[in-house]
Amino acid sequence: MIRLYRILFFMFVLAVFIVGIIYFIKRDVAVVIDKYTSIQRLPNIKPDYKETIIPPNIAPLNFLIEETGIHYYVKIYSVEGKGIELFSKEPKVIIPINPWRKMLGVNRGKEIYFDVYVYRADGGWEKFDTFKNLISNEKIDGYLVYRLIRPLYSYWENISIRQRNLENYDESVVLSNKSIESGCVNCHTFLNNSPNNMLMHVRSVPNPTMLLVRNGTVTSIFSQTPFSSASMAYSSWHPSGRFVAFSVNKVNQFFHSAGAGIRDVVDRDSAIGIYDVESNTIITPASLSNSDFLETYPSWSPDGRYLYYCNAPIIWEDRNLVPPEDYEKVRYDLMRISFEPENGEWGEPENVLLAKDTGLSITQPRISPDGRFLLFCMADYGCFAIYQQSSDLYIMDLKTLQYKKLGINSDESDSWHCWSNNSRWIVFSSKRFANIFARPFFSYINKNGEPSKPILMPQKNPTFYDSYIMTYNVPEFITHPIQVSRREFEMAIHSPIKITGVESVTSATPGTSSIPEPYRQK
Amino acid sequence: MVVTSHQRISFSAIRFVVFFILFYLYVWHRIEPYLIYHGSGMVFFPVFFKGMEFFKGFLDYPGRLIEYVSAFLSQLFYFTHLGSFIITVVAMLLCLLTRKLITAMGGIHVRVISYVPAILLLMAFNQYLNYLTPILGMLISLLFFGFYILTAKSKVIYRIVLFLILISVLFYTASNAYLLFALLCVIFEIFIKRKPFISLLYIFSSALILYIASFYFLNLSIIDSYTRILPFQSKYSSDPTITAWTLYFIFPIIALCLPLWEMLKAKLNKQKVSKSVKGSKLYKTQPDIVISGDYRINKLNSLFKTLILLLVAGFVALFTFNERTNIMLRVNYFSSMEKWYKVLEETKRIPFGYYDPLITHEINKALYYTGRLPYDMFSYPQDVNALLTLSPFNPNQLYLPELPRISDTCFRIGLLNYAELSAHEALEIIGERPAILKQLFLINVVKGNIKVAKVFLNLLSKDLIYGKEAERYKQHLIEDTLMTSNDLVRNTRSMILDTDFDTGLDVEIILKALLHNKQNRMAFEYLMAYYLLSFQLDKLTQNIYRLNDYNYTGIPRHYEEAIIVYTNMTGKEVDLNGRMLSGESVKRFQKFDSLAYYYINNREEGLRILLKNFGNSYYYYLFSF
Repeated sequence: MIRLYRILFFMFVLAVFIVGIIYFIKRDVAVVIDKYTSIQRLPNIKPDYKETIIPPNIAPLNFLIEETGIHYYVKIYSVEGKGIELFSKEPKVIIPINPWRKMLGVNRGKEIYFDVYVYRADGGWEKFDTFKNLISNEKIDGYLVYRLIRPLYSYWENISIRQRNLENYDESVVLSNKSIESGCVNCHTFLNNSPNNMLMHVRSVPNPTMLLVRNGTVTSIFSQTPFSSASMAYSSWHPSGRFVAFSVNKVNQFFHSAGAGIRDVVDRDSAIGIYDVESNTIITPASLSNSDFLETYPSWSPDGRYLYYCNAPIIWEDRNLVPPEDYEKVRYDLMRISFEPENGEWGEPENVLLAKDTGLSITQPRISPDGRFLLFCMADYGCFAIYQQSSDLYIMDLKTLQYKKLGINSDESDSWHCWSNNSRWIVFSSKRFANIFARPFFSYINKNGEPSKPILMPQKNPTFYDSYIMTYNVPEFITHPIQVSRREFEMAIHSPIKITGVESVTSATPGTSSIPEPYRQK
Repeated sequence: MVVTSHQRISFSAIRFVVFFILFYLYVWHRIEPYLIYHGSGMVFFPVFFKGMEFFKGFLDYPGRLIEYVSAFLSQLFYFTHLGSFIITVVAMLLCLLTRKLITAMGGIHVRVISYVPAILLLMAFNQYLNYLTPILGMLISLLFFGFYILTAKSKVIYRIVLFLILISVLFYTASNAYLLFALLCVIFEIFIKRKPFISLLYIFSSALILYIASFYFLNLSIIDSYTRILPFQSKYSSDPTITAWTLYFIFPIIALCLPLWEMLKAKLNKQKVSKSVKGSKLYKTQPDIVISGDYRINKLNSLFKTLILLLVAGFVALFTFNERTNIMLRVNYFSSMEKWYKVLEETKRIPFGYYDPLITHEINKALYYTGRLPYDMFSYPQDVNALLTLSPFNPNQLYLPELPRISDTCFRIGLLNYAELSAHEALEIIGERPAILKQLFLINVVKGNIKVAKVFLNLLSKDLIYGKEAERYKQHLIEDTLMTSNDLVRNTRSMILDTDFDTGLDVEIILKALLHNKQNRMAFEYLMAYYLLSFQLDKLTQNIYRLNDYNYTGIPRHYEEAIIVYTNMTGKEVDLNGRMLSGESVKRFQKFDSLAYYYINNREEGLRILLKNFGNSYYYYLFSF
């Protein structure tokens, strides 16, 4: 026994000694820069966090200095407070969280400056032009929820919904498909950016369900009905929290044998229904479930008096063919329909923006919480913007109904956007860095609808995305973390409640039987 | 006869060394661990990357540390001698720790049983079941049990404290593998120390720790909690075998049976359980000099046990070896290394009548690259569905473990989008294996998606084995952004299918579309093979003119055979574009035809005779349908 203790003690001491040696060797030693050469340009850094607007509560924007050198010095400072100085033998700039947070907190509305110095092997120190960012007054919502998947084709193994604290780098799993018989989880939606009321859809398990969280309590709703034997897909909460507009989609994925993009998606049919949370029933207004049209992407206005959605005529005769004829000619219009929440009455569909006027297909309308702007995507055709290289973000001023293309688009797909609670920040998924991996970007939208240069969601390791083969799907802002645990979600999935009634109005799109999923479980 | 412990230990040591030398040699030459490394989905194989970020992902979850170690060790299977060494060392440790367990439980005279877990491990690898992770978990459990029994003479409270410390450490490092440790401690306390109360405490605490930690903190399901790192989990084998169950339960069974056996013996002899069974000293050391009859060891007895051991091990090695999986793995390996002649050599081992679509798929590729596809394809089993196997699009034909090979074929023939699709499916199902990452890198370079290519390359550069190759590719990309100087990239780029068939796959249409590039000989030969296999002889004859595009001398044998059959069946002349049919093929057909006619009423006998003489001909293939 004593021998055992001696051995353990010796191993402990050895381990401490080794760690100490490693720390001593690897530590960065501060130097004094008394002489340097000025380089008349901005430094190359990755990600490009230069000359933009940043939220006052964002995690440190760590970056990599893409300049050749053997030592690096960065000084970060603003008007108020103490600056941050970082010395490193490596080009990675890792900013400590607490000083950063303090600096941003006391300098809201002011600029933050970055001085970058590089020590060359053949010369001395070189200083690049100072670059700056503006710290906005308005915070960004504290959390981001997204689905993390690999670029999927037919089969999936690893799908999870995750939430990321934007004020640091913490990421946690909300729900993983590993605990639900490898089903599919998606379409997470939140009422007014709060996780106290949220929805998440679970597909391809014995009971396709909708996980409904109301005031922090989760229940599971078995979402198949005579109206919608397919799972509910894109959803939108009515601001009152009483209704959820959802689409049901007969969606099919198919593949191109040539060309840059392999995957494509078409809705052979779709319709919109309204789920009444309080009565656990579904309402299917005729104008939103016309058998000759494809209605999808419902999105409530902040006052709950209009439902915006996308609508396209079904132009093919054979509704079973995959892909259908002339699928590349389908272009969606942007529509809206009035709604009286007090008595549940619907108005007539109104055109907001027509595809024939834009020449493009309009999808994913999202209105800012202050009701001023409508953000949407337009692409060459179809309904699945993330697969369309041509997809770009547009903004419409709802006062004037004028719209324009945002200046923050790229040559690759830009889509899946969401507004922050204060209507000042947006997040969107962009494939600009690598056309099969979508990354989340943030941009500040000012009162005139002008966006700032987008910033990539920061990671502790600035080269994180260089080798990350997961893609960020449907990023959604929330103001605070989801309180329901993963275990509670899992337990709820296995005990779903059925929807009690379907109020179908004539010419509702007939329920479909065993709709093939875009992805199949192995 | 007096035998000193020194002499006994020497004999035991010799047996140990001899056994494990043979074990190592067997694993090296017969199992060939590098086949497991290159198994690409056919055998469970973990992913491993260098760097702290990858390692950090293993700190947040119990059991992940052991998975990290196992993943690291598994990469060394790439070097077959090193992989064999690792497996042998693991087996040796299993043997030594089991020996310790046996001694602790009073089975000093049956320590030869300590070789059983090693033999079971051999059985598992013989079947190409990679249980390294759960085995490492078991090893740690046994090691910790070894620590625990060092305290056997200490006060109860010290043992309890040590148990709780060890179980906590074990839970974190090896997750539920600690259940084995707990079980062994419980058995030890009940039967050796005669402290049932402590064992109850151990049972309760170990179950409670696992339940609370998994259920409330880790959000795992109950089944996942209790089976995470156990050999009968589905990720290690889709059909957990008796090997898996036995490997895990052999230790508690040994621990339980030995004292029970002693108690039974004592009862039968109407003796009280001796102090030695209670374990005052028996589990600790052997006496220096053994004289008594119970412990007399005689050389012949030891030799006999050794022979039995070797016989059993040999029996296991011989009769549990999974020949079919071995063939498939070797075909897969040689194909991935472009050792086409080796692929064809392997096929000689395939039992008659055994058909596997992957093997057929690789055979055809090997035949193409050795210039023999239109001459010898019917010397091997054939199936039209295995030819190109565009299975990602046809769920009825999906062969998941073969996805990397399918991607490879599509890449070579110019079906780049299909190659990319298959590779992504493989990535999702099999994981970030270096071969798949490399394939995706090359595909994206050929397509000009350099940004995407770099992401895969950056990840590949973190691989333990392929990291250096990735760094070479990085350098190449710096010097030549589109890698136009790379032959494979340049050739493939020239052959890319440029017609979009979005309405699903049709092998014939796709292959014909590839012929826009007259350099795509592979597309031509595969198209003709497709016509042969699908009996579309009219179309085959209509494409004979294309032989001029590929510098064939004469007409390949199987095309000749098809032309002869076609002419005989339809009476139509075929334009051979100035080429002639060989007299040999005509004569052969005449012989075949007359024999076939002779056996027209005895098809079974006819097939047997025709197979013997014409089995490698298209005539036979057609006739057999």
